[in-house]
Amino acid sequence: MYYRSTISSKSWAKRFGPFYRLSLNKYYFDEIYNRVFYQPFLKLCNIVAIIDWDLYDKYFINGFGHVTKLLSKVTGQVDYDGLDQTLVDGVGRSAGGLGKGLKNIQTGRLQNYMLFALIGVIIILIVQYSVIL
Amino acid sequence: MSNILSWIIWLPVIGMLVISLIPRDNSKIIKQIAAITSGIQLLLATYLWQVFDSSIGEMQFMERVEWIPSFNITYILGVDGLSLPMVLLMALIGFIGIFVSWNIDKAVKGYFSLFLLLNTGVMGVFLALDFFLFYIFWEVMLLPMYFLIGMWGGPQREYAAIKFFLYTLAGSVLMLIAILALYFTCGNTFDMLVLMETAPVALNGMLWWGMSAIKVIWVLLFIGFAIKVPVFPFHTWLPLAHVEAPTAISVILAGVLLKLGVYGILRINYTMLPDGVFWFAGALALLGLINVIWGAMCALAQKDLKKLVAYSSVNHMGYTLLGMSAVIAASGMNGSNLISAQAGVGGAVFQMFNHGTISAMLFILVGVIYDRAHHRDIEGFGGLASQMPVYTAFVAIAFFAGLGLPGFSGFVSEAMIFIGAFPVFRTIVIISTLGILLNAAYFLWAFQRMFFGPANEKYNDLPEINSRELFTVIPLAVITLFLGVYPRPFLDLVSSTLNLLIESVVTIGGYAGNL
Repeated sequence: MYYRSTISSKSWAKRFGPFYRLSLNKYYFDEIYNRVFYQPFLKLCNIVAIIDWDLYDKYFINGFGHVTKLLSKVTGQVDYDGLDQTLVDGVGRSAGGLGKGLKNIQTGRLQNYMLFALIGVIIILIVQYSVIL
Repeated sequence: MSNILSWIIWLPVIGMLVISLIPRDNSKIIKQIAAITSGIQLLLATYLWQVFDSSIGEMQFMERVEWIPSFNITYILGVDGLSLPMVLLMALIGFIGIFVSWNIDKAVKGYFSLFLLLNTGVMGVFLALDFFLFYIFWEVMLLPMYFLIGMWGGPQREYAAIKFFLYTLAGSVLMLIAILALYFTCGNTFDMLVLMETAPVALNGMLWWGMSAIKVIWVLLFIGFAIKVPVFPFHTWLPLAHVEAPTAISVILAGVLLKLGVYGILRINYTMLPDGVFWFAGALALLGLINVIWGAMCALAQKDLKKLVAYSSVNHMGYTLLGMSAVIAASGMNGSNLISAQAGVGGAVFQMFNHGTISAMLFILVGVIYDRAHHRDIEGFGGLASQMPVYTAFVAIAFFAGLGLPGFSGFVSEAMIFIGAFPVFRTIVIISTLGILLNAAYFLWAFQRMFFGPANEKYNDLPEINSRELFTVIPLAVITLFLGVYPRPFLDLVSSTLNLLIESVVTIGGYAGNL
């Protein structure tokens, strides 16, 4: 049959074109597998890897580090600007300022000292009387 | 030989001290001393294995020295069927690691000193039976690792080192809280053997902030160990650290350090909090499944060979969790299926050992190609099989061992895990077998892309794997093949101890209803 070419493969291939191509390409099994299972799954794996490495690790896990850094910046500022510069140095500054202010009353004039003494006595008397009353 | 365990632990420190006396220019002598020290340690470990009586499940070769009596801190060491394989693994990988790092030329003295200190830390964790001592060795192991990654690593080494350090330290802090909680609730002792007896009774019914104390301590310890395993979602330090670490350090990291996590869970969680085992077993199996699938999918997507191998560790360690969870099969309410529990837990310990040899082999082989081509891009090769046939053969062995092909040890342990876990976690086991498929897919696909197809002209005269590299790979390949065909010696070594462990979990964990 084949020898005499009563049935030529070419004419058969032409007559059953789609079926011929189908069987020639193994029913497109490889292509279907590739497109239906293999490629989508590989895509899914890539997404999983991106979630793992570029999102979860970079943002969530490293986020702990970033939050800690931010918090330590805030505490650093509170510590230096708030506690040290304002409160601790403030005590020093106010002592200095008080001294500066108080130095003005040390005039060296006896009359002024007498006046301050008098004011002091009056204040003491007022306080004592208010306590008694 | 008395005090053999102390010798095994402290020998590397002696080697380190000797190295510190040698001028830094004599790098060859430094390497030789490191090799001799590790060699003697390996001989001692082998001797220990020979004199170890595997029919006894309890601790052997115990050493006990008063250390800080006012806090009941004692120097206690001991070895049993659970720690002996890990000691052997560390001694072997530590010895091989010296030869893997033979080409290190930057600060040789510092590198080998830290390498030996790391060895001491790991051995100490496996052999310590006092919680305080355990914690100290745990930290001793951490510190050299930080410097080894941070100074001798790849381009992102500083980032990787600090991430590894902070991540692991976070875990050890949680562990420290748990250790203190156990210390104060169970009669002010750090003695782990005593705690194993007192903790289940002392913690029974105790409530903290309305939560069961057993659950709280279990979770604290579990997170501490899970970071080391690493269990999803605490795993992201691993690919980074593995990729950035120098080859020998990746080998130690994957080969031994990851096992510390599983070892800790089995040694501490399982024995001191047996009730927690029943509470957590389902979650443990589920986390194992997630590790298996997630690790495999991430590995499949990688373009960097070393990162692929790193994610394969996430995948492989997932099986150990699954196997460990099978212990509950032996309890009365699960049908007293002792054989399942034995298969599961035995498989988990065997998988630990096998992952140690297989992943060490994989990382060494990744290092071999990286040393020659100076990159690890899977797509950047092709047709290497014709260019480096011997190397190809060893990669084939390592990959096939990694994907759990019958005839390799990984197959036996994974099969045992599935057999063990199936009766209790049927659905999880069925889904996790998909992991094996993915496992095969990422290894074979990488193999095909690297070794077959048109050869990359650039690598036509790439030198073949040399005899030093072969010397590091062959012992591991032989062990993998031998245990794949005849796993009996390993299983005999661990079975008495694991039977005791399963029995204690099942009989003491009878309070499960009280949680």
